[in-house]
Amino acid sequence: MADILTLLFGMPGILVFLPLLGAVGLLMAPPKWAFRWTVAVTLAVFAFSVPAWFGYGPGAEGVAYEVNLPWFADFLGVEVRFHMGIDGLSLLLILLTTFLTPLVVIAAPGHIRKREREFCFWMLVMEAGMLGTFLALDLFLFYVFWELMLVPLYFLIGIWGGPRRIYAAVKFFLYTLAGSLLMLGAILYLALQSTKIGPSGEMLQKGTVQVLELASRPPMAWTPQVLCFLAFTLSFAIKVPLFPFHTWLPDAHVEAPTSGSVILAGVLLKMGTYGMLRFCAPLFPEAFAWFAPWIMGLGLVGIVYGALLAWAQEDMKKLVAYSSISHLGFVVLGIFALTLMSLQGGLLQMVNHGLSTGALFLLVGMIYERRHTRRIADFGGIAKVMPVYAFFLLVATLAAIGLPGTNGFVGEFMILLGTFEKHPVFAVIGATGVVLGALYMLSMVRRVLFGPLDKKANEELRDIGWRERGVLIPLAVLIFWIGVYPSPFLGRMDKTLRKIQQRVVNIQAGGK
Amino acid sequence: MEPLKFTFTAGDAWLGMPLILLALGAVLVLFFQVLPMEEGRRKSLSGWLALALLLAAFLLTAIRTGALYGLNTIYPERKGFTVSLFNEAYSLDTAQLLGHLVVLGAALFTAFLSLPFLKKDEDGGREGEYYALLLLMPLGGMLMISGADLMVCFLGLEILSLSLYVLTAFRSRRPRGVEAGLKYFLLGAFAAAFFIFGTALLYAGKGSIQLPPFRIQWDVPPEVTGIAGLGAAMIFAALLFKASLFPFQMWTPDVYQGAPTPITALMSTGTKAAAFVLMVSVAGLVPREVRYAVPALAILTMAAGNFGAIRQTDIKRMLAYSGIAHAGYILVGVNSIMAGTSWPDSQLGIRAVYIYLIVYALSNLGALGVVAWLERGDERAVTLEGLQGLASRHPGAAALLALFLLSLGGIPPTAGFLGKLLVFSEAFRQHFYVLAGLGLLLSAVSLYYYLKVVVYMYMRPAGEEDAFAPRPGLMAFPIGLSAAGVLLFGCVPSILLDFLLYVNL
Repeated sequence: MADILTLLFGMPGILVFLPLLGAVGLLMAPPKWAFRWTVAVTLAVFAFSVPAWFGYGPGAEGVAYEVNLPWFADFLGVEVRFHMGIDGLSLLLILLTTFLTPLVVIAAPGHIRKREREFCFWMLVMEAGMLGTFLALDLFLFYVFWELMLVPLYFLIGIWGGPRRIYAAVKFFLYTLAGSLLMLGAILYLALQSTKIGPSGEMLQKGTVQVLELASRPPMAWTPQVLCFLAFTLSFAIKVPLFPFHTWLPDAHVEAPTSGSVILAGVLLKMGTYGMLRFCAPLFPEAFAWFAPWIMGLGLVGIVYGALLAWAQEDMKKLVAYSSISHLGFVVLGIFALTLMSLQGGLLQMVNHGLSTGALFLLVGMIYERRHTRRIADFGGIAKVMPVYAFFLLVATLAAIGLPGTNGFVGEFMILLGTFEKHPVFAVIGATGVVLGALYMLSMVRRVLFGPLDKKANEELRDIGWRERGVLIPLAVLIFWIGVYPSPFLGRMDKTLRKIQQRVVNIQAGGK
Repeated sequence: MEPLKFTFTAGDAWLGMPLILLALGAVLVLFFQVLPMEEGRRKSLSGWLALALLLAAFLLTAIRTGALYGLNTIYPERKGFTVSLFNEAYSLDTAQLLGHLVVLGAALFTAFLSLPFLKKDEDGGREGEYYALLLLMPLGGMLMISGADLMVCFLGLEILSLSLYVLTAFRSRRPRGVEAGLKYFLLGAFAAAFFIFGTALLYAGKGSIQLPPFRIQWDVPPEVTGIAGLGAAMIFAALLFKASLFPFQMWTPDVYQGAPTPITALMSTGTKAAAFVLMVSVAGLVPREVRYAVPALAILTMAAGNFGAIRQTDIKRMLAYSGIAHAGYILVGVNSIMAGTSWPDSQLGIRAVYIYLIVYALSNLGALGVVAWLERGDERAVTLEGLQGLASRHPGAAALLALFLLSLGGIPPTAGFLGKLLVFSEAFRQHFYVLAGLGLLLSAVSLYYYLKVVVYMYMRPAGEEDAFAPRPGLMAFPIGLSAAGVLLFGCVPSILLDFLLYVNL
């Protein structure tokens, strides 16, 4: 009984079960209250997650708010546990999730005009799945949440999406599923080999699927380690998406409704890079180090290729979608460069990208609601009629291209500086991505906001209202906060990332 | 040779009560047919009687399973109690009782579906036959599972099959139904011949057709070679047919599509459960050369089912192909049992197979239950086109069907995930990495066609007319229970896992 109370009322339990409970409550509420109810639930979840920011202060290490209870046992000799907790790696991403979800729900009534209750239901399930994925410290629990998350997004894209929504939804689902099933195979193998039995049948080491415990054990033999590493990395690379596994992303992003795009770009893509840090580096350190240059190479291709594709787009949403490929390429670069600074920059850039790209998708959605077009050529000079909109679009764009003073600068700069320490050539090529980013982003802004106001339809555009400003102001505040004073963010992740980096470095040194 | 003595004791009567209930019930229901009474009254009387008897048999078996399980845990040193009855022709232990529960549960579910499903004009006057056969089918399944020697198993197999042949063709005015029944019968007769001939060869080679209890089969592996080995291989082949496994899976889509939907539900779960439990019982006899082929058979079955299902537009036909694929997943589990080197080693594989059977039965019965509910309003078959926009018209039916399909696809936190997880982890444990890897990828393929149904229900606008029955009526009860089971076992897997680990199979 006490166990169940710990599970339900510990911090991780509240974060996962409150949205689920809200989803169940929603089914009983009258449909017209759906949005208000959902805003209340997601804001409550955010309120419950804020103490973690203070509880896990700068310089904190280890896992806080831990819940560790048995789930089911006697399965491949391991015990599967409800093991959840918050550490420096997951803290910021959890806060990002609880922060973005209410904003998305507040913005949603602008573009969700059918089946509102269903939409709210899936948003709440989605939030529970995302938080569970970041909180889980047990491989199977992680996998369950990871898969669970696919279903809500599939419905979000498939029901409320654009004209090719069904194709996009199915493609997204199957792509991700194929990757995650390979990961499941690797998880099963990990569980199996973690039990060590001596020659006369005595138990040398009890099997486990607890991530932190596996991360403190000596790594596996080389060949299985490489295979498991590849399975995990492939699954994460699809999610990130890393070139050449990115083809599902433009489809999903373009067809998804604004809220789906924000969640997808803001949180879901980070799960791939989060998984690389949480699992690939500590569990398969030797394979991680050996493959690092190759994967950094793919990251670089993603940076440049994504930027070039974004440059060529005529559609604002597609442009932002392709820019995500480029930005996530930086994150992958930072993670696999494996210096402390590049890791910190990578993790910070995950948060940054969630904020700036989330804001960009919201802004594109707002203009689409007004004009029902997203073609860049259809706009021009709208800064004259929508000054407030123009301000926010400029802020988000500058954050995305990494202007000093915005969060994007801190992240990209740290990644490039950290990478330069060990791999100068990679850093130099990566830096071209920053230039290209400025090029396509600024040209988009120039063509949309400035120039002559020559289209008749644009003259009538309303500026954004208070609800929309209410959504964008918190994002802008955070963009500047991280840009000007990032040390509270960096301090909270420092110890955890240092530990991950030390493990890989030590094991490599020991092997040679 | 001693002369055979036949006795019938009070113990036999008490312990064999479910069998006796079903057999007497079948006779009674047939008897109603000749009594002069009003048509509607007769229909409801035979239907409710069948339902009540199946429920009684199910509950009695459930209580016994619990009691025997309790005994097993109180006296662990006995390593499982086995009760023999009917002159040691029929035995009961917890694992077999669990098999009975699956078969009886499937028949009970079918009875619930049948009451509102059968139509007065089309099926009028023949309900007696229907319900009598519905009572006989689980009787056959139970004999098949619990037979102490292969002759009793064969008897059970035939009772089960003959009931189903007739039930498949029950709507004799529909050409598809008759074709299905005939096809099933002709091919099934071959399987029966294989089984009986295999039994004969086994007897010729080994001098016995007793099925040794499972524990003994694995502690002391029986030497089955030469002519006896050929016999065992033939028995195995017959079971491949009954469980619709490659290369004997071809009949399945036609038969499942042609049969009345409640019967499809029964066939796809009850028969499969009985066939797989029997396959597990004879697994120790199957010669080594045949066992080498099992992984290949599993892969081919999964591929045939999953790739076949992709192109289907009729839901029942799609579920038939998906049933083939699921038989393939279960065969992956059977393969792990056969690869086991000792009793505890194989026991884990048996647990995986049993759990998969239970989970699959829940999901598939639920899915076909929803199909039966939708079909009831109209004569037309349930097709993808027909399901367009179902979510806006009948949100309940759409949500349930989506849940069952996701469970069949193995998405957590549904029970289907638990089944797949166990079967494939066993394959990993026995070092069948390629088999498990291919199986996982093929199950990703399966999501394509399950999702297609969801796409039609949720993401396409509704058509002009509403062809579907508005209310589930009596069907809501078993469908709702299955849905609860799918979610419960998915979220709290330890219920099934712990129970089956300590079941002392």
